[in-house]
Amino acid sequence: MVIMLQFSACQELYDPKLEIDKKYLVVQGLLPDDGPGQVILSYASVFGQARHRTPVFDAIVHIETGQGEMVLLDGWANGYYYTPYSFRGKVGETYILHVETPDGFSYRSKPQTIEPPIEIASVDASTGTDFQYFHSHVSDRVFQREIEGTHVYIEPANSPLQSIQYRFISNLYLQYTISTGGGMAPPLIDYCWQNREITNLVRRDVSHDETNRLRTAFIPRYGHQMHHFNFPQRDYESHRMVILRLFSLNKDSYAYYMARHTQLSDAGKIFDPIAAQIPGNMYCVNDEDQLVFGLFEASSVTEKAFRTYINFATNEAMILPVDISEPIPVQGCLREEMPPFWL
Amino acid sequence: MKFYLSYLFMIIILATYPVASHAMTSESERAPQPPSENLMPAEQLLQRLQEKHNVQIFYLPFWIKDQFFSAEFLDMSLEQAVFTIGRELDLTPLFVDGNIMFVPSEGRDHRGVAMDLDQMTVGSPDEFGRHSRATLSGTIVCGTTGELLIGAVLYDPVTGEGVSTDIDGRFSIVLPTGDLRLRLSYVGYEVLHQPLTLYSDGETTFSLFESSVQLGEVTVTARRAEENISRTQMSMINLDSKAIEELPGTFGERDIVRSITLLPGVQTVGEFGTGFNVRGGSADQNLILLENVPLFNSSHLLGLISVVNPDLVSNVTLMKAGVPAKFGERASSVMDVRLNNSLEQERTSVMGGIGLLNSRILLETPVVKEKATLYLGARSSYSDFFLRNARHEDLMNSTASFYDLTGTLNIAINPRNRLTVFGYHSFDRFGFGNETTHEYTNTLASLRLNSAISGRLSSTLVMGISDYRYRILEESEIMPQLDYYMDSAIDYKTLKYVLSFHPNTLHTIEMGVQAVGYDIDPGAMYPSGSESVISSLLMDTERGLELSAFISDDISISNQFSLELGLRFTQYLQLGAGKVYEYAEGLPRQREHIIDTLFYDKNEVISRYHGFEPRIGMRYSFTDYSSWKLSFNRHYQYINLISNTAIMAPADIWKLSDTHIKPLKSDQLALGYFRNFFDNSLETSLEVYYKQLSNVIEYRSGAEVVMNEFLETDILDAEGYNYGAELYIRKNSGKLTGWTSYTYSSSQRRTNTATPGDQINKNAWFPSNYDRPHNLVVNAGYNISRRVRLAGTFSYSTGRPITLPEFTYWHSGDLMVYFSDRNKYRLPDYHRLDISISIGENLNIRERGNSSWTIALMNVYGRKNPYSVFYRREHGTLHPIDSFNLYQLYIVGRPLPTITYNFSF
Repeated sequence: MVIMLQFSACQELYDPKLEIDKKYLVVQGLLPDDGPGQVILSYASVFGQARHRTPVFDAIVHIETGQGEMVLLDGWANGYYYTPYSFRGKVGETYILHVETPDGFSYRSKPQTIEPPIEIASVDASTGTDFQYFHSHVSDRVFQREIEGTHVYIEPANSPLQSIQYRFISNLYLQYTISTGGGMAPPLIDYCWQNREITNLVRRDVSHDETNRLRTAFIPRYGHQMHHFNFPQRDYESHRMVILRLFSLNKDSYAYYMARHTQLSDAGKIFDPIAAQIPGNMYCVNDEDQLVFGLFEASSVTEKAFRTYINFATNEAMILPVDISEPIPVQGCLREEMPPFWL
Repeated sequence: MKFYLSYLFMIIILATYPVASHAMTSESERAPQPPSENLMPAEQLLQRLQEKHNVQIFYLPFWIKDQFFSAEFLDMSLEQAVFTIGRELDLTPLFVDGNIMFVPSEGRDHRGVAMDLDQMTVGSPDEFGRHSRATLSGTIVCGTTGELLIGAVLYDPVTGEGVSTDIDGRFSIVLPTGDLRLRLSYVGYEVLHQPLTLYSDGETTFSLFESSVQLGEVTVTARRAEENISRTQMSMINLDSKAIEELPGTFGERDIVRSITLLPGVQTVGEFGTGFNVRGGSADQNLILLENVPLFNSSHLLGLISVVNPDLVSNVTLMKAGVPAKFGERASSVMDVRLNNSLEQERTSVMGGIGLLNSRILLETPVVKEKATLYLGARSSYSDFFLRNARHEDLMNSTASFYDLTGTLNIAINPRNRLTVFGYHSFDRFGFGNETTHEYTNTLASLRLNSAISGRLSSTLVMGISDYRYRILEESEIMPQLDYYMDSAIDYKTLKYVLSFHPNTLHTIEMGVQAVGYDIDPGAMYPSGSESVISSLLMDTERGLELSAFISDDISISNQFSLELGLRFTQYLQLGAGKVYEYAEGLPRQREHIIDTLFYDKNEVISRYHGFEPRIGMRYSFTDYSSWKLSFNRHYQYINLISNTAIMAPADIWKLSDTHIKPLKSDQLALGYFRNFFDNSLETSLEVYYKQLSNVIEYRSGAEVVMNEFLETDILDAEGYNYGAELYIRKNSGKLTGWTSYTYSSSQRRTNTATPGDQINKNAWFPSNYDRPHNLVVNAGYNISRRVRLAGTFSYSTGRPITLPEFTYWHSGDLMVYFSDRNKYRLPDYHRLDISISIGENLNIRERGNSSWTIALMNVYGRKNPYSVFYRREHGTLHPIDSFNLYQLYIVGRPLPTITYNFSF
C-alpha cells in the first residue's frame, strides 16, 4: 500500500547531464506544386537547454531540378529561404536540395520525386465531442475538457494500383463583422477574418490509403469556445470554413511524418518505448559524421475548402464545398469593403 | 573440546528431533510401567518445569523414555532440577538464550539416527549369490516432510561409485551385492551412513534429515554435500525448501523469482519489473516451469511480487547452462519450480501470513494417510481497499489488486506409481487514474505420473496446459463513445514422456518425446459499452506445433571424469489458417513493399523449421573438493515476446515464429571451476560463458506492436553475443551464512543488413537492454539466536543502457526530439540495501500453534533507482507542445519499512 501511495509521487525530473558541444542543422523544406518553395534553416538545441529556434543566416540554398538546373533560394529574415515566386514543383519530377552553411558544411537531400496529387472521394461532417487540453496559468496545471463541435472527415480516392500516402494541414477560417460608429455618425461595417492552422487539434495529420476515412478538423460548436482554439471570441461571427491542404507524400516524406507522429504519441509513456527516431532525408556531404535533422519535402498539393455549420433543428452537421480563388491572409479587417474571399 | 562436542551433539539432537518424535509415538503405544504415586514420567516433569519457569527444554524423547522422577523436583530451583535430572540420565543441560538443552554427556554413544538405523536389505535373499552386482534404485526423501530431494548424492566409498537423484528425486545405481555401507548426502542435510545388504535388483527409499538450526554461541561445520563439485551439470542453482526459507524477502516476504535475481548471471531491467534476464538474454528466453507447465507472466502488480506462492514451493532449480536435453523451448534458462509433494502429512495443518501487499494461507491435509495428500494455497492483495480510501484523487480512481490460487494433490497409486495433480489460477488488475485498466490471468494445470517400471527403468508422463489472457480496458466517464477493450491470449498445451534408464553404473540415460501446441490470439479490440463508436478489430490468430525428441546419457567414466551427452531434435510447424504477406526482395520490409498475399487454410502448414540441439557437459575433479566443468548448449526458440519497451510490460504480446520471423538460435559455451573449502562449508565457483545468438528480434525505431497486422514490418533481424564471468562465494553454515557474487558481463546486438532502412546504429554493435557489465550482490544472514535472524542484502549493478533524447528542434510547428544511437547512454548505477530481522517460530514442537514475524526495511538509505526514464511534453498556453522534459520513475524511492506476520497451526 505504501508503494501505491508513493507511486503518484515517484516521478521527478531527470537530468541526463548531456555534454554535447556540436551544432546540427535542421532543415524544414517544402517544394509544393502550387506555390513557391520554402526552406527554413535553424540549429537544433541540446535537449533541455533551449526552447527557441536558432535561425541560420547567410546560408547558400539551391534546389536542383531533374534537368540539372540549380535554382537559388533567397534568404529572408529569421532563417527563411524562398525560391523565386514563379517557381513550382512538377508532378513526377525529382528535386535535390543543396545547403551550404557559413560554418563550411555542405548538405544535400536525397532525390525527392513529387507524387501525383490526392483525389478526394468524399467529405463529410458529423456533430460530436472531443477532448482538448488547456493550461491554467493560475494553478499551472493542465486540464482536460470536453468540447462539442463538428468533426470533418475526408476520404481520398483509393486507386488499387497506387499506394496513397498523404498528410494534411487544416485551417479554420472565421469571418465576422464589427459595426462601428453610432449616434449621429453613419454606421460603419468592418469585415474581419481569422485564418489559423488547427491541424494539431486532430492529433494525427498523416495517413495511408488503407485508413480510408480520416478526421481532418474539429470545429467547436459555440463561439465562446473559440478562444480555446486561439481565436478571439466574436459576437458577430458569421461563417466558418475549413481549408484543407492535402500533401501527396513520397516514401521519404511519409516515413518522416509517420515517425514524427509516433514520437509525439510516445511522450509520457512510462515503459521506455523504443525511441521513435525521425528519419530525415538530408545528409552532410563533406563530413558523414555531421548530423542534419529535418526534411526536404517535395509534394503535390490538393487544396479544398468547406463551409461548415450545424442545423440546430436537427443537430446535424452540414458541410458545403467552397471555391477559394484568392489566398487568405492570416487575419485582417477591411472597413466598408468585402474581401474577395468573403463568404 | 568437550564444549565443542557437546554442541555438536546438540546439532544432532535437533536434526533428529522429528524422527524421535515419530519414534516416540510408536513407542508410546507400548504401555510404560506404572509409576508410584510420587513419581511422574520424565517427559511430564520436564513439561511441568517448562511451564513453571517459562523456559523451553530440548531433548530427544527416547533419552527419557520410561524414566520417572519424583515430583519434588518441581520444588527445586530450575538449575538444581535440570542438573539433577541430567546427572541421572547421563545428560548435560546447557543454557542457551534462556532455554535449556540437554546434550549427551561425554562418553555416551549418541551418534544420531544413522547409528540407530537398522540394517536395510534390498532384493530377494533367495537370489543372494546369483549376481555379483545388482541395481539399487529408489528415491531419497526428506525424513521430516517426505519431500523428494533433487540432487541428493548416494555414494559407495568402497567402490567409489555414486549417483545423484534426478529432478523427480529418483536414483539408480549398479553396486556389488552383499553388505554395503552407503553414504548419502544432500545440501543442508545430515550425511547418512546407511548399512545395507543388497541381494538383487530392488528399490528402496532413504530418508535424510536436515542439519540442525544454527545455534547461538557455536559455529558448527556442516558436513555439506559436495554436490556442486561432483555433478556434471554446471551453471545450476538448486534451492530446496530450507534454502528458500532463508532467501532474502521482498516487502518482507519470500519471493522465489525476486530472489533468483540476486544470483550470479541473473538480473532485471528495472528495479522490479516483470521477468528476469539470464546471461544477457531477454525475459522471454526463460522457461519458468511451475509443476512442468510454463508461466507466461511470472509477476503480480507490475513485478512487485512474483506469482509463485512460496509457501508451496519445495524446490527451485535454475539452469543457466548445461541444460539437460529433456528441456527445450527457450534459449536462455530453465527455472523448474516444484511444489510440495510429500505424502507424509499426518494431520491437517494451516499456515499463513499477513503482509504489506497481501495475505496468504496454506492448507495441508492428508486425504488418505500416506496415500494422498492435498495442498491448497491462496493469496490475495487488499490494496484496492486502501486505494479507495485514499485522499488523492488519482489514487482513489486507481486500482491494484491480485489473487492466486494453487493446489496440488499427490497420490501414491501404488508403490511404483505416483500421480501429481496440479492446478493454478491467478488474476491481476491494475490501473492508474480512472481511464486505462489492465487485467491478466494465468491458468495452469498439469498431471504428472511417475512410474518405476523396473529397478533400472522409470518414466515420467506429463500433460499440462497454460493459459495466459490479457485485457486492456479503456473507459472514460466523459468520453464513453471511445471506450474499448482489447483482449489477447496465449494457450499452451504440452504432452511429455521421459524414460530414465540406468543400465549400469556408468550410464544414466534419459530419452523421451514432447509435443507442444500454441494458440495465440494476438489481439481483438471491441467497443465497450453501448455508447462506444469504436469498431471491432480482430487480428488473425496464430497456431504452432513444436515436436521434440531427446536423448541424453550421463556417463560416469571414473570418479574424476564424467560426461553428459545429449541431443534434442525439434520440429516446428506454423499452422493455418492465416495469411502471409510477401515483400519485395532487396527492399526494406515495409507495408508499401508488399507484393503478394498468400492465404492458408486451417491446419495447413505455413512455415516449418527444425534443428538439432546438442547438449554436452563434462566434469573433471582433481580432488573431492574441486572440479572443472565444461558445457555446450544449443537451443532453438519458436516463441517470442514482442515488446517495444525496454521493460517487460504486461501488454506485450507473444508471437510465434513464422515466415518472416525466424526462430531464435542460441549457442552457449561455458567453463567453470568449482572449489569447496572447510569441508564443503564454503562453496566457491568461477564460471565464464560465451553465448552466440542468431535471429534475435530487434525493433524498428518507433515500433508499434499492439494490434499491428504488419508486425513483421516493425521487427528487425539481429544477431548478438553475450559473454561474462561469474564469481560466486557461498557460506553455508555457522552463525553467519549467505553468499557474495560478482558478475562481469556483456550483451551486444547488431543488425546485419545492407538495407539502410533496416539498420540500427548503422549495423554497429550496441549494448542490449540487458547489458549491465558489473553486478555485485552481498547477501548475509546472522543468527543472533535460535529464533532471531538478522539479514541484509546489498546489490549493485551498472545502470542499464538507454536511448536518450539528445537534441530538440522545431519542425512544422512542433518541437521534435532527436534521439541518440540505440542504447548509447546508461541509467545511473543501481544499488540498494535491504535489511530485515526475523523472529522465528517457537521451537517447542508441542506448541500446536506457531507464529513468526519479519520486520524489514527496504532501501535503507533511500536510493532513487530509476525504473524507467521517459520524456513528457509540457503544455503551454498558445501551443499544445512547448517543451519536453525528461522524467525518471522509481518504485521505492525512500526507506520502506514492512512487517509480516506468519502463523501456522
